[in-house]
Amino acid sequence: MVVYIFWPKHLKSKELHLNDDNMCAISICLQSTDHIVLDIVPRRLLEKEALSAPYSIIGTKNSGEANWKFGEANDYCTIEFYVPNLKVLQFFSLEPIPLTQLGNAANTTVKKADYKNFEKLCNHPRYQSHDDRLRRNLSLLNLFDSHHESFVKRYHSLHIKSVNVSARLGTMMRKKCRSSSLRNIVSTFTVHLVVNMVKVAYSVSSFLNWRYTQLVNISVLAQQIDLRAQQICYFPVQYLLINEHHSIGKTPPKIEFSSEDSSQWKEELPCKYYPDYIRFYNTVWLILNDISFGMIVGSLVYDHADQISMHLHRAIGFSLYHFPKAITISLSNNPLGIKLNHELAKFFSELFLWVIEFSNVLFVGPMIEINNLKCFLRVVSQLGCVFGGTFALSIIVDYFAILTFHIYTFHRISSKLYHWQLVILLSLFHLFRGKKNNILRNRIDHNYFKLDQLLLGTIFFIILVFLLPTVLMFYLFFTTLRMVTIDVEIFLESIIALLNHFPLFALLLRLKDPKRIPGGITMNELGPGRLDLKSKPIKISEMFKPFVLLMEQMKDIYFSSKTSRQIFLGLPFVTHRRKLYQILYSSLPSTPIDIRTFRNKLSPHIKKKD
Amino acid sequence: MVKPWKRLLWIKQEDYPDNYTDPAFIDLITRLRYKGKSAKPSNNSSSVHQIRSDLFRFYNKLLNTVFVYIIFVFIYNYRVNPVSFAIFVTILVSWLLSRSNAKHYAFGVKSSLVITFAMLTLSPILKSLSKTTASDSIWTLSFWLSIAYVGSLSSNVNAQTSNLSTNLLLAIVILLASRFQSTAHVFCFLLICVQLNVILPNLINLSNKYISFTINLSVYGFLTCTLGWSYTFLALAMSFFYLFVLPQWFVYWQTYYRGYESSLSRVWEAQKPILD
Amino acid sequence: MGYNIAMACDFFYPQLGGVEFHIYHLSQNLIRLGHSVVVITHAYGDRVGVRYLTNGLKVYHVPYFVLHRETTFPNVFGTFPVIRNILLREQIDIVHSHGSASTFSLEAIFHANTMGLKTVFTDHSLYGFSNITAILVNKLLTFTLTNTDKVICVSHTCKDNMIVRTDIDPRRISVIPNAVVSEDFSPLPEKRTAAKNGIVIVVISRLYPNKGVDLLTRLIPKICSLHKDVSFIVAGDGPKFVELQQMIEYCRLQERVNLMGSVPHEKVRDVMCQGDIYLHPSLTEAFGTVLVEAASCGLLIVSTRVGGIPEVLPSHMTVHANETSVSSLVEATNEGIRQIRLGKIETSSFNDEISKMYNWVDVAERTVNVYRGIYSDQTPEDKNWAIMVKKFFKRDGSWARLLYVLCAIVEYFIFFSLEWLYPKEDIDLAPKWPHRV
Repeated sequence: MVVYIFWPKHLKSKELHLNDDNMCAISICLQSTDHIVLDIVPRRLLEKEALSAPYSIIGTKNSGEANWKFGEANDYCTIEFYVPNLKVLQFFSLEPIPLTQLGNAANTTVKKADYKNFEKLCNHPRYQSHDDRLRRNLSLLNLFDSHHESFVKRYHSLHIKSVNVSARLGTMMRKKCRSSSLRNIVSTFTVHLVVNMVKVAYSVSSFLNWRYTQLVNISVLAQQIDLRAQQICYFPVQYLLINEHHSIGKTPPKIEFSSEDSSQWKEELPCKYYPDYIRFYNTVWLILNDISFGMIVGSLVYDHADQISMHLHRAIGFSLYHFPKAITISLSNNPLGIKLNHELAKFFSELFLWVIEFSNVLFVGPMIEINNLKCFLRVVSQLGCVFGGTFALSIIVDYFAILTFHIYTFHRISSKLYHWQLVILLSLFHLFRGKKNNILRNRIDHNYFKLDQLLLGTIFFIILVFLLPTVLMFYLFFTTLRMVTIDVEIFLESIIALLNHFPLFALLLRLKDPKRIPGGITMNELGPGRLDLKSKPIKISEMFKPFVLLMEQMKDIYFSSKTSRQIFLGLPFVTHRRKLYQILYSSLPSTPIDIRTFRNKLSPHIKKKD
Repeated sequence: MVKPWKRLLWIKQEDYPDNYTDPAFIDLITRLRYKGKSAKPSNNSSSVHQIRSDLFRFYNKLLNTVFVYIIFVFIYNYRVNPVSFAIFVTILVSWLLSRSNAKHYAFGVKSSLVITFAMLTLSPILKSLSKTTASDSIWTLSFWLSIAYVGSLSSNVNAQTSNLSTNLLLAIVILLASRFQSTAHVFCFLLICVQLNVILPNLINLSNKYISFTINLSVYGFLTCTLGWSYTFLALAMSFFYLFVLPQWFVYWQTYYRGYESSLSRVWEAQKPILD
Repeated sequence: MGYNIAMACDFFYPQLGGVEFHIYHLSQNLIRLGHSVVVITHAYGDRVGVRYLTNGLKVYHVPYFVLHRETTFPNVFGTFPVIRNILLREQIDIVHSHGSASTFSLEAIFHANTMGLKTVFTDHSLYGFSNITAILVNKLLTFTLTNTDKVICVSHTCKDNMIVRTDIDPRRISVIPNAVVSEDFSPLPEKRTAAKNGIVIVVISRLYPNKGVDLLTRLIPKICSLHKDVSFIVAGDGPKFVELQQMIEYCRLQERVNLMGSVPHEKVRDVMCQGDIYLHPSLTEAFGTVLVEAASCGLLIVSTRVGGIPEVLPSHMTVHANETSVSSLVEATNEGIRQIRLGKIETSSFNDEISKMYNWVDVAERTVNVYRGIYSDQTPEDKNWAIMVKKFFKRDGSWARLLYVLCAIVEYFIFFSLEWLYPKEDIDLAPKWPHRV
């Protein structure tokens, strides 16, 4: 059995310092953990003091000797590590810390029965994780400082004191500051400001989610505003949450030696509240980043509004007016040599041409007029500077949706016609075979039809069969057009989603201090019986996981067999914009927090500060 | 004293082994197998006659179907005005209808009105339906539909025609009707074909000597007039083969090729349910 | 010393049916008699590989392409490698195949003959000669049974049919009927009082056209209008189910006809016990195990007189319709109802009588007799390849026999290449399940 000893690297310097003395390494060892060396003390000091559990002397080194001796056990392995500084939120973690609460949302799709079996399997001892010991060790390591502190408190004599004067000065200053009346006023003012902001955000959000209009589902802009409003509502709550946890982290761990339960340890692990912390700051950073992004792009657009509006005018005019018009006309004249039914094709093309002209006069024309476009671009860019790039983008998406409204109607009209025709053809086909669909029993029955029924049915069947290619051509064209517009919208919305999901804070943290976002641990061999424990930062791909997942979801929705089936049957396919925001919303409470409860929550805080 | 063997499973017949075979059955099959093969079945003539009359009925149905094409060719190719013929057929059918008793109430006044007006209303649409389609595609389509129609005709002469076969016939008729230029032609063609091919076979017996003769005469006469003697000769040869050679051949095959199986199989075939 | 027997068939557990139960019960009783039995069938869903059933009945589920209604894709040689492996591994002496519609069983016989093993074939069904499926199956069977040592038929009618179909020596064919586990089909302890509750007629059938469902749909309204106190229970599912449903709706017999849909096999007895008369309108039947089961439950049997049905039950348990017509069947049903009303037949003794007539121990002993017969009748050149090819050549018409010989020769080539690729010595022998003394 190998004995593992965790050895903090900062003790090396102390070891050098005490090199002339006989030294003892004092370690802490709780139930089912390995030994973790807390400190090195000269042996002479130890003679006066008797150590009691959980502290023990794990190793000794006489002066002049090069190596440590570890008790009777000759088979040992030291694992060296840098003590994580919990105050600056460094810690070890076996798994990558969750940056989102995506886990809950993704798991709901698993079938319940499968899930049950899976749970059963997981509970089987064979599949239970064997890393419990390592987990406990890591949590002990994470709390190294506090353990050290309590050790020092208990055995004063073993420690050589050094008072930090500047630290004391700082504390004094802080105390002074807290009691000043200015601070009081500022804090009260801030609290009221926050409460009022939340009030406004709350009412905006509830207006947008109003049952009867459901603006959120119609407009991207509304959705974006709603998201921001809900985020604002949640900020104070999140802040409070983080601060409470912080205060827990700072108190020394209560080690009750009689009942060393592992559950107690887990509560104090920083990774419990840490994701909240990252999320909070990530949201704040994202909003700021969004605004700066909006400023850059907005100012660019503002400066070049003239040229852009020129090009846009031409592009939109071509793709939304001239191009559909040309194709619609050509569809009525045997397109690609396919002989369509002339009468029906003519009727359709006239109908659609009329709608194109009408929409052009009514809104498309005015909307893409160069001056209006210029004006629109200026407004959008200015809004983008103030509220952020996502706002500008969502306004553009909404604008585009209005522009392509006539294509949406074309698609609906042709899909309705096509769908009806398919349904009628199917039932007439049953009649053709001498069968009929029994709706009550949901099955196909045999039926003997009379001659007049047969004749009528067959005539209609043949007529519809001959008309099907014509309807299909129109349907296919307008479906393609609609798909293209949807793709454009999806593209813009994915940019919005990327801006909303960008793990800016985590990326910056990773640059600044990789230890603060642990994504696991690595061990390197330093020599015989010596290992080096290091924290591994989260991978970049892991950080972008929510966005990648989102894109995969979108792919499943729009490029799935279900969608193609819907298209084949002429049924409408709906855009699931909500899905784009699902992950963001999942990290927010399902209903915005009530103002009153929020105020109640805040009030003890204010009092405490007072 | 050994008990006689019984053809039963529920009694234990210890005197006989499990592989004991009924001697009567062995006798029967030996007789059939070794002597029956060389002997000609005695009731040969009646079975040939039966098969021939069945084939003849089917043959008449086929000829009746050919009328669809004949009328089409008259209107489409020879630009014959079909109105007078349609009136004639209508009068004939309604006379036959009133002559036969009320058992054909299926073609009552209401349905005939519905049919007529439906055809009147839809004729203009039908006229323009396949205007842009190439004629060749229509001929091909109607050819395959005709094959399907012949396939779907019931082999049982007395059975009601199935919905599917009526529908296939109507499909052929409508398809062909869509080639005409004038609405009146479309309507008349539909009317004539529906009456000749759907209603008429229910009123008269197509295999009747005189009616069959009339049908044959008109079909072969038409064939001679339009395509010439060589085709008529070919068609006649085929009909002869079908009506006179095929039944003989079938009986011969049954007797000599399938051997004694056919005379024994009654016991083991799934019995026909008699739905009286 | 018992024989090592391999039962080969497409149809086996988890599918439930007549053939499946026959194989299962026969195997169990053969094991009890001291023989060793393995079953070779195709894979059902995720049931792939080797499984053990009660008493160490080993089942090989061979993964194979299933064509239609659990029948595997017929190709003459495809199963040879795996079947050869199993037969060698299990040191099989006798291959016993079941069912002529099962390509698996026919191929197993062919391969076993090539390998020089003894072969037995049991047929469970009757085949006509007048449709294309029957002709194909008959040709295939003629080919397969050319060199088969013994054939077992479930009834005398079936045997006659087999003689005509495949033209083999009648002395090679034995008649051994099916059996039932009469304990599983016991009547209710308290007898139903038919006079009080009205008479219930039970029909259990896979609703295929050849089960006489057309007769049934016309018979039910007639019987219902003739007798006010008669009701029906129809169990089973199939293509004709909708027509029965339509009949019930059209004649408004929802109160009197209980259309149960498919019933699991273990519930069949409970369904049967709810009735007084079992009606069997089938149009073809080799044996009719369900009749024996129903009689064992104490029901009076009303049946058509087709196939092997007249041989199966004594006359005091049955009322036969003389022809497969609705009127004749109605007559027979009326007669059955009359007998039940008069109470002149004692149905409670049926169970005992049936248990004496048909039981699996008897069937297994008679089957072992057939196995012994193989060894007593054998001649040294039975499985000689040249002799077998000669027999193939003498079998059938001028074209078919050439095809037969070609198949046989290809088979022998495959045999050699398998011997070369996977030598017999390299195949591990499976340990046998310890026999309980």
